[in-house]
Amino acid sequence: MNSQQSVSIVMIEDDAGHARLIEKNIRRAGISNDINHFEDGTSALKYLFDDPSGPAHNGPALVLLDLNLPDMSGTSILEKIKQDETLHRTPVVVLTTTDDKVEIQRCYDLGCNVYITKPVNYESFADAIRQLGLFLSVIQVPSAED
Amino acid sequence: MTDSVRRRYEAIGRRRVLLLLGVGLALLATALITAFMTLGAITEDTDAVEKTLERQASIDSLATFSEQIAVGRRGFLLQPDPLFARTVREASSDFESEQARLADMLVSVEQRDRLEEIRELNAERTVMIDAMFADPEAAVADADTMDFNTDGAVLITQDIREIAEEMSAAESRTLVERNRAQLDSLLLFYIVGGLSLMLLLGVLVTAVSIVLRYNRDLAAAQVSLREANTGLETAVQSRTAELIRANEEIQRFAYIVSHDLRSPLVNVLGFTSELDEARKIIHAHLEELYANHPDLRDEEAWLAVDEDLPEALGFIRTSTEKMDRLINSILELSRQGRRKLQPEELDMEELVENIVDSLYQRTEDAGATIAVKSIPELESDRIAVEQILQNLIENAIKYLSPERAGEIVVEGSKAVGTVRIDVIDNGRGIAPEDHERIFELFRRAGTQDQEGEGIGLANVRALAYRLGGTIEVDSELGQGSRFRLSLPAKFIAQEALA
Repeated sequence: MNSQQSVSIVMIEDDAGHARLIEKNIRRAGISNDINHFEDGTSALKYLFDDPSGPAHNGPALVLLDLNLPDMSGTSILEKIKQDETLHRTPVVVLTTTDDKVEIQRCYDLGCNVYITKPVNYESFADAIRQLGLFLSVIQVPSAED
Repeated sequence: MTDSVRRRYEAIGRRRVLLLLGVGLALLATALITAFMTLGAITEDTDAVEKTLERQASIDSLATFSEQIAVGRRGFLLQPDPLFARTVREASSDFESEQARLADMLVSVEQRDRLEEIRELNAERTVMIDAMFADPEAAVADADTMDFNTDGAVLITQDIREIAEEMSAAESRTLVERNRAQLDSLLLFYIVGGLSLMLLLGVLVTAVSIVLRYNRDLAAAQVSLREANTGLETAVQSRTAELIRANEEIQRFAYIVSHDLRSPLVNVLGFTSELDEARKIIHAHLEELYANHPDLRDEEAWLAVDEDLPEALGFIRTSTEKMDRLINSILELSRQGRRKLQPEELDMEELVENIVDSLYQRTEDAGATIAVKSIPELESDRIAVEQILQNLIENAIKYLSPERAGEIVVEGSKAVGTVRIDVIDNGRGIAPEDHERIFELFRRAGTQDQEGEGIGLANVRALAYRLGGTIEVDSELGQGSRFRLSLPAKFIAQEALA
């Protein structure tokens, strides 16, 4: 558990309710990593690329990304992360209500690592988030190499 | 309406053409008859002229023979040479035969009278000549003292000459008259013929001008027709484009709305679960508390946690879940509406068999049988046709009558440019007032004993329309239903019509 502390979670989600539910489920899964929550794309990008404590300058991170943001499309954030030299290995988990195949395909093409649709069925959603917790413990390996 | 107008115009045109044709024919006939008549008259005149000339020649010959007789006689009287006698005799016989010939030829009474006179005079002279030949010496002797100016035979000869001249003059007059008549008939011919030809020319010019005018009218009509058609096409095209734009707008709208509606639903359901989690904790806590301290038991609080809260949460959950299903259906419909259709040749029997095979277990469970009869091939989008038929066959299995074993038949037939596929069942049927309703989104009919959102047939109809086809229902409540899908045999892209 201690080694996981180094991975910070960057959650970009404009819906406060969703953000709260995601956080609750992450915590329930036994993940205690820091969660930095941003409600719009601009401030999230600023943190990701410019903040001294952000992932570009300070250690590994995992990005939870909602595709529907008020100021920009989540896919353009994904694109920026995956095209950046320091950040391109940062795992990105796309969390959205869309289950459109074209959209999912596009996210994977852009380099998204996991795509999770937010099911209205809460149990499966919680399951997915818990799976994410397992995933978080797995990604320790590549981030340790950094 | 248009038929009677067309008939009236045709009658007007026909009357004009017939009138012109009649006038033209009449004029042509007039010209021809005149020509024939004139020709006949001219031929007649020419014959008459020839005869006149012949008669004139004959008269001249007669006069010549008469002179020869006179000359021969005078010669004989001066010198009674048998040569002169022969001349006289020969001339006499020639005279007589010529006279007979002329008598045959003469027509007018005056000329005949004149010839008769000549004949009589000649007969008189012949008597005198015969006397001369009978007694040549006495005649010669007489001749010495004879005054030729008073001699009977000489006078006769003179008379004959005069009469012959008269006759000749008469014939000449006839000739002039004939010539004039000939000229007159020619003139008439020219006048009548020329007039007829001019009128004919007039008819021709009129006919040509009418034809030209009709042609012009026809061309103008065609031009305006084409303009009207082009206008109509443009109107239809712009209308179709508008419809397609509107349809696309609705699809996009449906997509965005349903997409954005899901977001709050995630919260509602999520926090409902959170509430339930919290309730469970309180429930467990109260249970433990009441077990340890029965004196603290509050029945109202217990009922709220044990019954009221779970009931309320349950309703919220089922309603929200239903809402989510509906939204998902709309999303699915709009997604299908945006899918690009890919037409291909479809072996319909194989396609239906595959659907039937995939529904084997459900058919068995429902105790039904499905018979697939012959269905013509057609060109269309495979996925859409599969979805339509899958829906129809599923419905047939789903809504069977509890009173009898289900029998479902899928069969096809061909109409002009269209393939019809019928899905027929002996199930519970649909009341007439619901025949339209069942195709509406979220609407269902009959006993609500089966699961469903009221999406299937709405989707079927949307797909059928998209494929350029139709879906119809023919059903009687309690007897069974027949759903008829009609699709174009050759795929027509509806979007391409824009």
